[in-house]
Amino acid sequence: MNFSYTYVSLPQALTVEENLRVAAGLYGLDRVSERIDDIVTRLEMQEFRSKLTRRLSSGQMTRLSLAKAFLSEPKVLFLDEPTASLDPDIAAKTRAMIQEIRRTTRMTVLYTSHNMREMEEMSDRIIFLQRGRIIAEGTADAIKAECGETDLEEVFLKFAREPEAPVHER
Amino acid sequence: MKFHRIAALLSRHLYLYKRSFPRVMEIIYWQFVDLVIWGFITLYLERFKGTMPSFVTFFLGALILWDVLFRAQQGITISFLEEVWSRNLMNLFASPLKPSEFLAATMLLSIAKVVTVSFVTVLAALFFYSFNVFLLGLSLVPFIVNLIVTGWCIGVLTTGLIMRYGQEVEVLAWGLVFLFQPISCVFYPMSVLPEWLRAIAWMNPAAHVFEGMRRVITTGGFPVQDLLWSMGLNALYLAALIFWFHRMFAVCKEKGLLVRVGE
Repeated sequence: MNFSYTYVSLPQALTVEENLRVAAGLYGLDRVSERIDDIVTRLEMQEFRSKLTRRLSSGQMTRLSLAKAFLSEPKVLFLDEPTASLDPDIAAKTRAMIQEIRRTTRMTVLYTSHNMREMEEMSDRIIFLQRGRIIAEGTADAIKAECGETDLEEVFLKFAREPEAPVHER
Repeated sequence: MKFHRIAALLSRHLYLYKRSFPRVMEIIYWQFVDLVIWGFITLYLERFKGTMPSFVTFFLGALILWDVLFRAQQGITISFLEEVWSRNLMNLFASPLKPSEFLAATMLLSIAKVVTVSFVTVLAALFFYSFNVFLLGLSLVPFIVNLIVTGWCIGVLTTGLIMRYGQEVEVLAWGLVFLFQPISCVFYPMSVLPEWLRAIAWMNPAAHVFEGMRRVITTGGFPVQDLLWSMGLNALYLAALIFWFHRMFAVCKEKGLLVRVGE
């Protein structure tokens, strides 16, 4: 298992590569240099590989966090708002990178976001949670059909404005 | 200059004291510790003024050895705070890293810090005061090792408290160790303390180390009893504190506090 969470950082006084080497050590990975080279290439991080983490932009920091998460090739990966605070261009590139890695490694990704368009683009299956309970579950199309909406954003608003949405029958 | 801006900034700091007991305590804490330590030093000087051996050997030796304990404690606590400040705790403990491995790494780091800082301090004492700590003899080495272990005990305690109660109690990283200084009898012998405090000091491994140091200086012999007391107490406290730290870690993990510490 590994994760990437926008509000969790990595040691700022270490370079990108040093942070990845520490992460590799924590997970007891072999072929460390080879793995780092691979993930750095996949996430297009070559130009800031030797940069101090504190000097990274938001987009670069997100990619470092994702690189740390992908490095151990987890079976399950938790991504919490991975594109929050990114501009639309970098966010689109980040989503494409996640999709590419997911497709090639076939890892399970649990992706949390409040951005409904992003959820539609990224998810095979979506779960809506309200106060710790599942209130809707299924593909984006199935949930929209079930709620009588054409847009997942409208589904979200509907649930958010109904304080006690019915619990989804599983 | 506008008063309302000064008042706003003042209120920003006063709000912190309103709901933070550790911050309020910090205001009176250092005066209290200074008063106790310097009070007992004065008593010691007054009582033993005619018979006391070299001031320099006693006080500089004590100061250097106290720094060993302090740095050993800081090695553990500051390493933990570094992770808090860089919001890295979750990365560490979501990995297969075990709390025991975290403690082992910080203990090794504290040894490196102690060696480096002691080297500088010893050189400074030699350069400024012509005081060579090595003249105290090799018999001090096992006592120094014990001071490091006492520092670890206080470090594990402080780290566990910061982990459990968050940055609110971060001041403990620098302050808690000094609560042990008066009962460590760093600059004066245990006999100077009132009887009730002597009983507490007796349970402190560091007090036996400093008693031993004084015996090494005054008699030149090897105080086996002081060493055994400090070793026994250290082993007991370290085992208990490591167990407590694991329990505290489990509670923090259960309550999700590791994510919040540092926010």
